[in-house]
Amino acid sequence: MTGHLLHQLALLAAENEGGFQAPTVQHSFFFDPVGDGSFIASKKAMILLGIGVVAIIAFFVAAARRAAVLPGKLQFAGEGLYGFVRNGVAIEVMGKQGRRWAPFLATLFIFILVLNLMELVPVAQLPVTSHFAIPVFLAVLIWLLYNGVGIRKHGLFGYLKLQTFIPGVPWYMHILLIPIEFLSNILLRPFTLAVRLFANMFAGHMLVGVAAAGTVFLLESGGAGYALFVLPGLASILLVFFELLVCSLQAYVFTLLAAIYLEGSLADSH
Amino acid sequence: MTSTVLHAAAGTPLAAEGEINPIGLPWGEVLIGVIGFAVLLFVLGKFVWPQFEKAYAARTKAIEGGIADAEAAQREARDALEQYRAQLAGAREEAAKIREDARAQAQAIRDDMLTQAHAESERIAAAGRAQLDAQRAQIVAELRSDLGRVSVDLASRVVGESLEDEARQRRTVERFLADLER
Repeated sequence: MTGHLLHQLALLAAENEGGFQAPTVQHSFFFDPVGDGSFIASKKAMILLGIGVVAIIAFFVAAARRAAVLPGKLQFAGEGLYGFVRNGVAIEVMGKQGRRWAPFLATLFIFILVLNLMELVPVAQLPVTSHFAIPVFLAVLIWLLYNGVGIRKHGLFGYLKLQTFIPGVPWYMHILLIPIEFLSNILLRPFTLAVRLFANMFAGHMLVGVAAAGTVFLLESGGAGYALFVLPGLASILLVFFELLVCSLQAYVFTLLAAIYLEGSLADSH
Repeated sequence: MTSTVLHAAAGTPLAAEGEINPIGLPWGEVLIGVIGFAVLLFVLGKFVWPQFEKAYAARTKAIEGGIADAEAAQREARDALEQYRAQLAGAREEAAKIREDARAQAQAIRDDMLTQAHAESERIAAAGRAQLDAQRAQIVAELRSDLGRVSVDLASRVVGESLEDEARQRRTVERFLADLER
């Protein structure tokens, strides 16, 4: 991806007689749509999604094949990832019932993590989660799930009361609080969930792209550029490490929030 | 509109019409995402997570089993120690009892012997005394008769007077002896 991008930039740089053109959204994310992009905006992103799913399955099936008491390296790695979500997120947030949700949350975490990390994998270099469809689908899934289990457990009215009614508050405050709680707990959660993941991955990819493009541009413009290219060059390398952090963190945050929402719906009281 | 804003935010001046909206939702991508995630949920949920849970459970069991074994061994050791201690205390007690018995026995024997010795010495002494008394009495009696005869003889020789008269002779002797014994 970056190769493609850099090539485009080199061309742009040459055409514009040295004027720097930052990479466009179109070039960075939607360079190979099917038709006008209303069905599939980037074939590469979808291929990466498929590869990701296959890679995850291959890795974990290999890791879990023997399920020995004394794990090998592969099993240890797989169990470590699963155990991180199972113990660190599911059971930590949801308590005992977290064990039932651990498989779902672990799958969610791995799925997001791998699709995020596609940003940094050489040749791939496109975070699939920066395509809005994926975070939106996941956020809607979480929204359906936490509302669904909440309604199933407490009934529709009981669930709405649980989510919007804060006990121990003067009655007149409820005029203000109930709409706010409804808005934040029922309506806005899927948006924040989806946009947080999408925006982080989208912006991160742009950032790395711009830094890399700047490095190439300065190198190709010659003269002072030979001295100055160090700055964006260094920045692009540092940004890759930063993005590594962001990729992991966003996968974690998404999973953690999903667990917190589910816990909130399954809680007995506010 | 949103697209333009986002382009500007991303630092891209080339936001032309007809470009793909970054926050659009191409339904093919949603569909592929759903399928991918569903496949992942199914495969991992069926073949991977249960295996890991099984491994966890086996490990927990193994560890707990080890702990239980260790606890049993410890308990056994403690019991054995307790038993040894009890035995030791019993042995000590027994030894003390034996010692005490021996001492008592020794004391009894000593007392016994002492009384026996006392009795013996008493008896010997008594026998000696009795013998002495008997001999003395005999000697006294012999002496008395001898002395009577001798003194009468002596007196009759000195006085020249025959003391043939039985009665007088006896009286004289008696008087003499009474004087002697006084």
